[in-house]
Amino acid sequence: MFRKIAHRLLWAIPTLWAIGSISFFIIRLAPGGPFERERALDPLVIASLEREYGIAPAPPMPPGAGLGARAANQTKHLARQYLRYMGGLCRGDMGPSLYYPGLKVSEILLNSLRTSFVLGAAALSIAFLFGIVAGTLAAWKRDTALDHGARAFAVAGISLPNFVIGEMFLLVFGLWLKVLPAGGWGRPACLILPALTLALPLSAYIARIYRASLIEVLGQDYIRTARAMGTGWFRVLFGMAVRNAILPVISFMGPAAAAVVTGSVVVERLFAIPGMGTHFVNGALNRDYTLVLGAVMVYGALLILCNILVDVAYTLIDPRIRL
Amino acid sequence: MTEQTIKETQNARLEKPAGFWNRGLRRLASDRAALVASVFLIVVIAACLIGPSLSGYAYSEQDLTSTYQAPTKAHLMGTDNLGRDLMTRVLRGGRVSLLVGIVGTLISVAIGVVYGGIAGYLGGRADMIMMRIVDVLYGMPFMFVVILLMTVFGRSLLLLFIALGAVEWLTIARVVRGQVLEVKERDFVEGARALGTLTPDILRRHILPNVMGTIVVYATLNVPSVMLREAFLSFLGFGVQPPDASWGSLAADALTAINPARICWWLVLFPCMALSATLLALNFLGDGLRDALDPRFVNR
Repeated sequence: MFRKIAHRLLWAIPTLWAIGSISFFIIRLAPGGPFERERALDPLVIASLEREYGIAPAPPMPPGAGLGARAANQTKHLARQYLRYMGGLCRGDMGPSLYYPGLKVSEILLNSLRTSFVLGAAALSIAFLFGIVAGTLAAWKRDTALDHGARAFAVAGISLPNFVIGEMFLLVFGLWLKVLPAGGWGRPACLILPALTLALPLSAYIARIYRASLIEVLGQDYIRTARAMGTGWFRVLFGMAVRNAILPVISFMGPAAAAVVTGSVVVERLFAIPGMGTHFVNGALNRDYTLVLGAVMVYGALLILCNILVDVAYTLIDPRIRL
Repeated sequence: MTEQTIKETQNARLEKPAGFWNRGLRRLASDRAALVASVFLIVVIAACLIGPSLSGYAYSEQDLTSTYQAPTKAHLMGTDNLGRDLMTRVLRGGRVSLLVGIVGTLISVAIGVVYGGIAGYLGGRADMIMMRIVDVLYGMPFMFVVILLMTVFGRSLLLLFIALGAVEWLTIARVVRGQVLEVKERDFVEGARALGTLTPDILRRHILPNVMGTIVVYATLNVPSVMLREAFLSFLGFGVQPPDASWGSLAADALTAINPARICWWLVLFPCMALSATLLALNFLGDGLRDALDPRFVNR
C-alpha cells in the first residue's frame, strides 16, 4: 500500500508542475506590470523593484540586433526567470508579495491557511454527519413523507449556489433575527453560518448517495438474517450495514473536499473571514501576481492531497481493495 | 435477398433514429417535473429577451432621488444603491447568465466530443495518453486558474466564454470516449468497415447518431454547471463588469448593500431566486432527458 501511495504522490508532481508553469507564463504574458498604479512611479524605482522581485524585463539589446537575436534574448531571459521561480518553489519559497511590502507569499498563505483549514474541516464534518443521518432516515423510512422531504432537500441543495444559501443565512440569522454573528472570525459562533453554508449542499449529495447505497445493502441476505435473528434496527443500520454502504460516500469525499476548497473562497468573502480565499481574491484584485500564483499552487496541492487521502480511507474501510 | 427485403431493411434503418428521438420525447412529455421545468425555462428565456425593453427603465439608468426603494408598483422588485430598477437589471442579468451558460456549453461540448471521440475511436496507446492528460487536468484547480486569467488579461465576456468552455469539457470527453469505445465494437460498424466505408463517414453516420442521446443529456446538464461557475466568478468580481450585470454580480452587489442598519432584502432575494429557480429547472430537465434518452434506459 505504501508503494501505491508513493506512486500517487509521484503522479502529483506533473500536475503541480503543469499548474505552476501555466500560471507562470500567464502572468508573464500579462500586459502592464504589477507596479502600474494610479500615480506613476519613477522608472528607476520600478526597475529596481522589478529586479528585486525577479520579474525584470529582458536586458535591452543593441539597436542593430536582428529580430531573431531579439527573440532569443527574450526567451533566454524568460527561461532564466522560470527556472529561478521553479527552483524557489521546490524549496517552498514563493517569493515576496508584490503588494504587501516586506511580506513573503509563503508567510501570508501559511497564516491564512490555518483559518481556512478550520472552516473546511468543520464544513466537511457537518456535511458527513448530516448526510449520513439524513440518508439513513430516508432509506429506513423509504417512500414516506420523510423520504420525499429528504429527496427534495437534496435536489435543492444540489442546485443552489452556495452564495445564495450564504446570503439567505446572513440575511435571516445574522441581520434579521440577529442570533448569530453575520461575519468575522475568532469566536466559535462565527464558524456556524459559514460552515453550514459550505456543508448543506454537500450533505444533500451525501444523503442522496448514502440512501441509494444503503437501500441496496439492506436488501442483502446477511441483513435479513440478522433481522430474523432479532437484531435491532439500530444495530443493523449503524453497525452492520454502514461498512458496506459507506464506500460510495467515501469516494465522494474527494470531490466534496474540492468543492469545499473552491466554495471557501466565496464563503470567506461573504462572511469576511481572513482565510486563504480572501487573500487570493484580494491578491487577484490588487494584481499581486506572486501571491495569486502561490495560492493557485497551494490549492492544487490541497486538491491532490485530498484525493490521495480518500483513496487511503477507501482501503482502510474495504479490505478487498488493495491500493 | 429480394428487392423487397432490401427496401425494408433500408427503411428500418432510416426509421430507427427517428424512433429513438420520438420515444425519448414521449417519455419526456410524461415526466411531469421535466415538463414543468421546460415550460418554466421557456418563460424565463422569453422574459429575459423581451422584458428589459418592456419594463420602461434602462438597465443602467440611474435615479439618485429614489435609491434603496423597497418593491413598489413603479419598481416591482425595488431599486438598488444608484436608484436603478432591479427588475430590469435582473432580466438583463438573466440574458448574460443564460448566454454564458449556453455558449460555454456549446464550446465545451464541441471540444469534449471531438477529443473524446478521437480517443475512443483510436483506442490503444493514443487513447491511454489522451485520457491520462484528462486525468491530470481533472486535478487542476481550474477556477483559480480562470481567476488568474481574468486578473491578467482583464475581464471580458469573450474570455469568460472561452475559459468556462475550456474548463467544462473534461466530463463530456470522458463520457463520449466511453460511448464511442462501446459503439465502435458493434457489428454494424464492423459491417460498414468491411464494406469499405471511409473513417469520417463511419464516424458521422454510424457512431455519432448512436452517441447523440448521451451528448444531448450531458450538454443539458452542463448548462447549469457553466452558469454556476459564471455566477461564482461574477460574485467574486471577476465576471461581467458594471454597469452590465449577471445574476451572480447582482448577488454580489446586494452584499455591499445589506448591513444591520438597512436590510435591503429585495436586493438579495430576487437575483438569488432567479438564479436558483433557473438552475433547479435546468437540472430537472437534464435529469428528465437522461431518463428519456440514455441508451441504458431505452427499450426498458
